[in-house]
Amino acid sequence: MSDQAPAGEFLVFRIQGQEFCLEIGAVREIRSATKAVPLPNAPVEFKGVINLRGTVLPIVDMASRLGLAVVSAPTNPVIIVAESGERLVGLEVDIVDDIISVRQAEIQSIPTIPTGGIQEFVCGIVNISNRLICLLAVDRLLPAEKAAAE
Amino acid sequence: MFNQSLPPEVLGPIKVIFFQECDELLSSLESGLEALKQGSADPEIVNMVFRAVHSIKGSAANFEYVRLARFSHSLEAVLSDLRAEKLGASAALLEDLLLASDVLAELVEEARGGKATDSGKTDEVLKILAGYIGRQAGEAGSQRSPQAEGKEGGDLRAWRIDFRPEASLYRSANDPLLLFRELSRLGELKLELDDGDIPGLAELEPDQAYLSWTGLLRSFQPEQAIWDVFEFVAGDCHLNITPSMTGGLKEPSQKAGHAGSDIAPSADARSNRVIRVDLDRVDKLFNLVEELLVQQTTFNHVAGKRLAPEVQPVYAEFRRLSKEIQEGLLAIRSQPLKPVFQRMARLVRQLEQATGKSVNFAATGGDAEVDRSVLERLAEPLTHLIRNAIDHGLENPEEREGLGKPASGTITLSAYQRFGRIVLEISDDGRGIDRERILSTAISRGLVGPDEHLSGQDVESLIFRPGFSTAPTVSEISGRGVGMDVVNKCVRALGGRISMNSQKGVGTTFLLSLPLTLALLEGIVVGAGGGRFIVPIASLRETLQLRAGDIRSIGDVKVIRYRDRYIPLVGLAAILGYPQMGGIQNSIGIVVEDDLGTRIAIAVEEVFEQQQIVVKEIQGAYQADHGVSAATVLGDGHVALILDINGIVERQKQSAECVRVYGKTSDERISL
Repeated sequence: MSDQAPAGEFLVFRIQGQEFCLEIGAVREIRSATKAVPLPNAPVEFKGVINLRGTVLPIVDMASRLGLAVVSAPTNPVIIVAESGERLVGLEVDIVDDIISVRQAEIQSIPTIPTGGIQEFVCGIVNISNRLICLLAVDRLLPAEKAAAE
Repeated sequence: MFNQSLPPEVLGPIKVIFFQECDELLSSLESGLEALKQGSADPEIVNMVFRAVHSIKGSAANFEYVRLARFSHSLEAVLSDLRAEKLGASAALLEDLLLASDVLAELVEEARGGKATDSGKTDEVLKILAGYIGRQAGEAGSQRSPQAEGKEGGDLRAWRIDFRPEASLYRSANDPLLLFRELSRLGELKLELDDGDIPGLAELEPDQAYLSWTGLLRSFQPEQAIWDVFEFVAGDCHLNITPSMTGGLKEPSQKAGHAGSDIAPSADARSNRVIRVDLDRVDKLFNLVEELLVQQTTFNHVAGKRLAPEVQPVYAEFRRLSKEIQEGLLAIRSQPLKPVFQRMARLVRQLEQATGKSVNFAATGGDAEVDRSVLERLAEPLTHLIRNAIDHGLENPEEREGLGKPASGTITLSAYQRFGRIVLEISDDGRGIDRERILSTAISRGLVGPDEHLSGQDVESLIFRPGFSTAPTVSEISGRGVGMDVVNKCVRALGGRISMNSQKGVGTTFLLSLPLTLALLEGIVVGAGGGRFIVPIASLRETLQLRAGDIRSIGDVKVIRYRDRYIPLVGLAAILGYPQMGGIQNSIGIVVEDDLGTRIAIAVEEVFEQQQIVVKEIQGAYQADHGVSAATVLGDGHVALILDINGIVERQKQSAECVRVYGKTSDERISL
């Protein structure tokens, strides 16, 4: 999987102390989190919807989506508006760090460790200046994908 | 050849255009054949029909849709004979041609990735077509690939055509496109454009000629026929026609991914006042205008009252213009009903074959336009209704004659606009719907008590209830127990209403009334659990101020008295699984009714204004059956969820406690 991942620029963000990144091309914009309107009977990681300049955008709580224990609630959570194909989704994360340039060689495949869950969303690991950054696959994060898989 | 020479990202959009063209061409093929069947002798119609099939054939071969290309080739051969008046336009021939056009449509669908066609049927029709061209090509001719054009006498030869127009050609208002089109009628034409002579922008003289073409024509026509095409431009171009030795079509066309590599399937007789726009672009623009309107409402909310007097008229003008842009875009998204009507005509012909009944089908009002969102979902209920009409409505020819009716049944489909809605009428002159039978069926299914007295209209409305189907056996045509309740469901899902009018022995008319668009919805805004929600007006019956004394209990279930009956009362927050804020007391009861006429009251905390809202899909395709169908953005920028009343009532019915109450209310309802 990771071998095919194109090298390029990646947006790095943090969720509960861990670093993750997305290919910059998949990121539409970054905005501070606003209160989402919860949808009835929705899965817990699906926070609800917000108004993004007239578009009704679903918000995924990334900590909950990735199954990370919430140690401390973020003070100023951020929404990364990401696109996958035609669809838009808002990913709520703790903080956005920076944008990094990564060469192909710096992307490794995920080690086979019996963690379960999070591997589902990670398509590679960026190993750069002693940082461990998980490269996320947007399409696997979308709620519909989850609904279809279940 | 496209398949080998072009990458998928280029090929994809070209295919999309191909299928768009196919739809148009099939449509003109069908309407042309219908006109000929009605007795028109206009040669232009025969030409149009021929060109339609020819264009489909050409592109199909390019995209290597073998079955489609082969079939259109056979059909074209027959049409060519019809055009050349080697064949008379007999009623039988036109029937067969219509049949073939149906198969062609199915093959296009197959190529598009739809379901595979019945190859037995395709072969059968191929055989019929081969019968018409038997004397020249025989059966084998119909099986040959479209590259092997074999009929018009003479040998198949390949010609290389080098054509370089001079500026004078254009100045005398000649158009190379027309020449190529003419050429393509002689046989199989492949063209390559050489635009290498176009200078840089600085040197470009707009009235000079820079383009030249190399064509390869495979034709049975003599060389002179090719020269004749260029007769009027002979002095205005360099022209060279030589026999081609390679004879291979691929040689000149392989590189021809760009520009006019195959002129034949291009916009034949289409009016040049029409442009083709990708629907996604229109939708994108529509969304932008919606955003603009929301922003404007927000602006009004925030600053409207503080605007200086001299600014107010300017602002009002802004609003008016935005509204007009929205309306204009809605008009652009609107499409005539005609394609759906033609699909229905095709369906009728298929069913005629399957049932052995003969049907005159007349459709009027196909020019009426509805929004794409409605159009897309119209075919399903119409298909059910027409199937039902032919399968159950119309009698067998013998039976009809016995009754003194014409042996052929008549089905009419008409559409017209009324009060901002589209009304569709589907009538047949069949046996009508027997009320006695409806009633006895309803009683045997337990839908009605045996002693109840219902008005004629009430009896008729029973057929829209789930679990009701008057067909004694499941038939191949009307399907597996799919009844009128499905039609009702489709129509309701579109925000429409359906009613029926039937007279025993005379016929049945179904009346569908639908909104012109699904993009807008009339609703009231309510507040509960800290959120805002939209109750669609179509589902709303009444709003009631609830007092403590109004609310009674049956076990755990709260009920209120509404028009002398008890109906359940549930808190909206509770329905949606939100934390309940305060009790149900002193709230407002919204009486809603689902598609089946079941009523419940929903307790909300606040009721705001009624307004027209713009329906927004919830991005990410969140599963909908949770009581919310879509969302909208209110003027203050808040997102409000649109309640799915059917889903809500359904959920309430499913809870065991409610069943008792419902059993009671629905019995009461029917007895009135």
